[in-house]
Amino acid sequence: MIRRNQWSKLVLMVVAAFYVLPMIAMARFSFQRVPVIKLGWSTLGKNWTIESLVNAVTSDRFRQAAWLSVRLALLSVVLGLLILIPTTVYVHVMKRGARSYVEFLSMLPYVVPPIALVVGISGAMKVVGTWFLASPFSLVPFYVVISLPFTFRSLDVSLGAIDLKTLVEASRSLGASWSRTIRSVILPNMKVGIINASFLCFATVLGEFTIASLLLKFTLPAYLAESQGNNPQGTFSVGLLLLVVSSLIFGLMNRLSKRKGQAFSGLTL
Amino acid sequence: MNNHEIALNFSGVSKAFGQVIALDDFNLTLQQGELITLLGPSGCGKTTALRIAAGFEGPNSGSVFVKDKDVTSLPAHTRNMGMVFQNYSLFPHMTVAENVGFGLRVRGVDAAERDMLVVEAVSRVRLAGLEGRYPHQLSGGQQQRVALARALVFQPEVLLLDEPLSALDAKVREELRDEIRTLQRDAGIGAIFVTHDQDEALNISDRVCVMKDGKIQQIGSPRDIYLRPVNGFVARFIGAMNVIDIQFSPHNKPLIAGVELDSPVTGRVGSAAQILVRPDAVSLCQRGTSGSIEGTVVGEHFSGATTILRIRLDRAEVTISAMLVSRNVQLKVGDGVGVVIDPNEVLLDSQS
Repeated sequence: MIRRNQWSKLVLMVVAAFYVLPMIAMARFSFQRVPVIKLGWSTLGKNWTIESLVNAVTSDRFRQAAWLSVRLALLSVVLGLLILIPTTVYVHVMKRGARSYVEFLSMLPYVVPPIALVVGISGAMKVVGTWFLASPFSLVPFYVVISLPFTFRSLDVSLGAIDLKTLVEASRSLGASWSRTIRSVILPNMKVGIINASFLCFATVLGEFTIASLLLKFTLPAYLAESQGNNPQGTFSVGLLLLVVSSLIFGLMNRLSKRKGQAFSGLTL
Repeated sequence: MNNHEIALNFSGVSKAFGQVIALDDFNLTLQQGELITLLGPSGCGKTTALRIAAGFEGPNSGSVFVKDKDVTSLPAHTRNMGMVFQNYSLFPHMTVAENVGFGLRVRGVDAAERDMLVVEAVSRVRLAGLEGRYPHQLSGGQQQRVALARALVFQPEVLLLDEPLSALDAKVREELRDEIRTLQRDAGIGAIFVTHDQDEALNISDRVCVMKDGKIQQIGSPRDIYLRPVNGFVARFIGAMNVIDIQFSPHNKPLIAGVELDSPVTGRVGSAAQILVRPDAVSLCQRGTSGSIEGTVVGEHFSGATTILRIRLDRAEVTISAMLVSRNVQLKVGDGVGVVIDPNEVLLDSQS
């Protein structure tokens, strides 16, 4: 009879295979100069090269798209945190009852399709500010919104793990002003949540295609879509690189969360 | 230390949350070096009073003074009050030393002096050597000691304690209760201690303020509150109490099961009332002794040094509790006894 922990191992192996096998397939397609039809056990060690990746990442189009995506990701992280940190602290300290409403709002991007978001906002902006949609950075507010389910929950969980209201009151009773309390008590206790939220927002932006495509912005996913016709190997190698980087980021997040003794933000990765 | 100097004064403070009145014309003066306990059931307003003193809530009317200064509209961080919370409230990302030194750092005390004061404060709460530990590496009692050191190290005007012992087990609670009292006396500052535990209140306080529905029912020394409660609520809330239905005799004295009590409590002839008698004001004697009320032991509750016997009176539908020294108790359930009530310890229940 198979014992319970053996079942766990088996399930883990199946999940790992589900995750790793496509990556291996991508790696072989991208980095082996072997016709696809001949990719098998016999050619496993043949003609490996990173030429396709080098060619892809050294192209001007890639650099243009990647540089925009990185800037968009960083700006989205900053804007998202600027909005969400005060909001989350406010609902935890002042208005516990409002938490469920904010949580509901943060979930809306799951149910509102990106096309509806873009059509709605661009329709409004065409009347009051066409300059907004013309700028590639018009994507930032959209990205802040679509990463809300991840960012809010990360911050919310980090504050839920402590009795923030009492800590704030303790700090205030000890003579700390609000700004001192935020700096010395609140933010240090949100560190893991802020890191998690930042990584998740960053990863979301790097992989977002629909909104960028609808607004005709040339981001990294748009580059991948464009180049997969004329340079499929290069496209897959960049895709694989993004996947590996994202996986490393999530692994790092988990390590950070565990080091702090906190459960990861509850998201299913 | 001037014991007659006012440390904190609530003057006509009222507070309502929506339709619920939490505090109603609350007046209380805390002397320097004094410890007053706010005692009452949940929702009586004791924590609201403390939070108004700390500056976490604002009153709807009335004022709060620290010494002579009106602090009613001052924000919490400018009031210079030390506060200890029920659930430890230590900053989890700071060590014991950093937690204790936080108030000093905020006040701009230089590092050398701060370190010295922190070491002194930590050793005063018997945690020397644990300065580098984090809160999660400490027991509940140790955490609360750190919170106490943190609240006292910057020499606050007033110490506010919001049920600081309620999350601890009985043994630690007793130890820490005595330590709080000693530290507060040594520091010579006034303290307000909120609790719903009557034993704690009677043990630790200079004065006890019993509250109900946002109103003060009685303020007095623990002895006064226990022995001379002003009304039935205080009498019932503090300690165990026998509530006995009586009628007044032709001599206007309480009549229990046909036996007249020569008590200072009097009433209209033939009228019914309830009297209150502490179990320790009830003694037992041989059945048939003159002046005693005959009854039968129906229950026994042993609690170490003392035993409570429940006695059903033969000629009335009344059961009385008597508290006796356990060593002297030789009665068992079913034995007949004579019950003697100390007439001077009888109170008329104002609620009846």
